[in-house]
Amino acid sequence: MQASPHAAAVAGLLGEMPLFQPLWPEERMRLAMQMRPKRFAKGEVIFHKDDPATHLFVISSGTVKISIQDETGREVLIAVYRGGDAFGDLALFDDGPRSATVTALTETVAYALSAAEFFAVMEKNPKALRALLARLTRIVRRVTGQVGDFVFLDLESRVAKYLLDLSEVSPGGKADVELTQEDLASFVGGTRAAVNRALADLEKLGAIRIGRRHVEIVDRERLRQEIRY
Amino acid sequence: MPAVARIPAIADALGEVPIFAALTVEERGELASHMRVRQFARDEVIFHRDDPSGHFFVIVAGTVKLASQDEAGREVTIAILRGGGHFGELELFDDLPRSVTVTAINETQVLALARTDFFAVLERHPRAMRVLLISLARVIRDTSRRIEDLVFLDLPSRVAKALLDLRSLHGANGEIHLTQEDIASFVGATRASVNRVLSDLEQQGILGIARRHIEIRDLPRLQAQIRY
Repeated sequence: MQASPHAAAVAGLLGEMPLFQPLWPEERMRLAMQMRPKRFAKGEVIFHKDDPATHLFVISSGTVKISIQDETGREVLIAVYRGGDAFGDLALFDDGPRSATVTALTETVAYALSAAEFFAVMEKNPKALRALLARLTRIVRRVTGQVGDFVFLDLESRVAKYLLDLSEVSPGGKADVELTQEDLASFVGGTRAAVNRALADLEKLGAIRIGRRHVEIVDRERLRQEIRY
Repeated sequence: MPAVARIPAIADALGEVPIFAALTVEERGELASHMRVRQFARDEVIFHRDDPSGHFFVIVAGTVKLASQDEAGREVTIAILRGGGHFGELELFDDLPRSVTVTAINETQVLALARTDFFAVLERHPRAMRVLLISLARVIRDTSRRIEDLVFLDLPSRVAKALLDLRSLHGANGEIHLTQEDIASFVGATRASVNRVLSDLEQQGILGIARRHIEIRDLPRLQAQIRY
């Protein structure tokens, strides 16, 4: 089969992701040839909680949020993913419905890969399966840590910890977090007003600077000190 | 059972464990020869958070609690597992120290498998690997749901939900063998506030509370306590 320049570019993207790095170049190319780009506008929902799950997605550009909403519209944010991250693989393992809703925070391009194709390639490569285990292990550790945070930390500590965590997963460790205060409130499980107060306090301490749609981390060490167990 | 169980008995026990169910009888026998039986008394710690990680554990009988503690000694229960369940694999995958403390809630028998033997099984049996991936995905689902509950539900709802979840873990007799402290740690609240919720439920005739266990007397009314 002749690989198109488009497939070569997707294979290149996969080659930079820890999940697909252990694959042979031919295996990555086989996946890439099956993957089609999908464009999502800012605010567009990529899939809803409880939808049937058939594909995983690889983000080429843009930012998405993974969140859960209750019937009254309250929302808790589980994670934020960017270019070079994958999402939507969890529900593929146990054939269950989607466990969360994914929404594009900015204009986003993501490549969809079917579960059948994904497993057909991954299962033939023990190193790739180990990478998959490592990926799930990291997620288990993150969500387990979040349970502890909700129980042990007060709101201001949760805001400080969340900003640090998010800046650490940002590409290049950029200390600039693109999120509205509403998104932030949803992530740390507080009301918007209470989170705004916590943010204003952190800004007064000189730990952060608040813009309209982003928060800049000015003093990482100061921010770390505000996490009180 | 004696502390040194015979290999056929271990192999039989492995047949009941989903992750090893795909193995043939011979393969289970082979695996059993690498496993050691360990017995833990009620409240005994199997491993502590930050201990070095070397083994994967399968529960043969009994119940264990996975919990993390903060510096002040406050505790939050991450999961409660019983016979057929497994734990300790996470740290083998990423080579980090133990992230939780695991304690036997009642008399518990586990099988321990060393890291190299564990990976040898996974590499030879893609089916076992698949089951393990599924179980990790399920842990993530369950834990995300706990976060959802902590954010969306008030304390009486969380207590009711925890009792219902724990009940399904303990079989159909409606008795939950946990202390009020265990439940407090599970729902992320102080023991005093959980005690208030529990005695309120007892006064309404929904629960019967004893020293080390709780009996569900009125299931539909307990379910009705969960308010989103």
